[in-house]
Amino acid sequence: MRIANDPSGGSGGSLSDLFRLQSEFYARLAEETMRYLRRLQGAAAPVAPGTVLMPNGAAELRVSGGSGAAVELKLEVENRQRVHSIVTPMLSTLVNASGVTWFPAAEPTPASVLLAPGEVATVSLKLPVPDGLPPGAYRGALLLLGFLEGAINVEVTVARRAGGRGRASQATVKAAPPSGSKSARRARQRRP
Amino acid sequence: MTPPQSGRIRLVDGVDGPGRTTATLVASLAARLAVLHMVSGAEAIGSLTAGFCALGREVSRTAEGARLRRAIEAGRPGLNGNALWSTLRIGEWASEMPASPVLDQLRNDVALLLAPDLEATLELLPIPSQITGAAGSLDEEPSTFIDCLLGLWAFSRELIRAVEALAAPTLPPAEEMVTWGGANVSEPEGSLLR
Repeated sequence: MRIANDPSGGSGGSLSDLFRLQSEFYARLAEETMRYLRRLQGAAAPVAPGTVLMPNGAAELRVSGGSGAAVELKLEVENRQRVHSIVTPMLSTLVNASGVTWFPAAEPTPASVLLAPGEVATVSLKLPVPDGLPPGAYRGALLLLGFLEGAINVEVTVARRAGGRGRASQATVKAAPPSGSKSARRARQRRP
Repeated sequence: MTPPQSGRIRLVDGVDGPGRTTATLVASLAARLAVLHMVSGAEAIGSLTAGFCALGREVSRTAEGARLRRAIEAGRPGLNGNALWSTLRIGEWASEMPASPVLDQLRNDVALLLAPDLEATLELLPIPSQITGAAGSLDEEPSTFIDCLLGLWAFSRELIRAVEALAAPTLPPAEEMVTWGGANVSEPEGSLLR
């Protein structure tokens, strides 16, 4: 068999194609083998016993308040495990039906709780409602960091303030415009 | 404004895994240490990095995490971090590793420090530990620089709070003065001391 240096050579070209295909096959085989071994390694790792949330009764917190005021959510947490648990409450973003997304500056008190077995603690979250937040029902979730299964639904109803001052201010609240709208196209054009 | 509404939740053991007891936590810690002798440094660090990335993805779902994420992504740290992450192929490496449950491990270790029956449990060693099985398989989402950064932030914050909570019951007030060896400690005397 003669292998030509010229890549345009007929038999050499097909041979190099064969080599390329073979090397690609072996590279892919090695990659998939490594991936399989990593999966095996992950499956053989020692388990870290975790915690699951179990809501007691209604799994939704509802609160209402006017813009410019503050609302408060309270959550009682009971540790039914046989060892201490740490609870770190965090609030997700809140979205209303018209697509306004509110990033609340929630202040949980205390920020984290260390609970002994059988202990019950109350966590409160104070949410200042921004001045220009459009009225409506904002929905989100109260998450306890690290406890993947379960979250508590939250609904904050923002009432219209007397005097009609309920318009969104661009500094605090940004409503995403529909993708095909003129404002969305203008926003895309302004981006570098 | 309506009065604060209160909800109640209970923290319970997962149905699939072992419950959180002093024995299972000791077994898990011992098994983690034993596994370190069987894996390479790259695998151990890669698994931790993947764990921080998974935590970062979780914390990005919160308002605080999402705000931080947007801020970092919008600035130079985000650009430079992504450049390092892709050029040095850190993301590729971390995405191939099984994610370590770093937050669960931290919380379990903190719980062990407070366990009243730890000494009795240590006498029972070796205690067999369960393996993760299918739950420990690879995360399909790629590990990014910003995920890792946010995961480290959340983990560090939790660690600081945990250490403060551990010290809180016996923490003396900041202004307290402690005299070691009793109150009548006299100045050392001698010809060599001036």
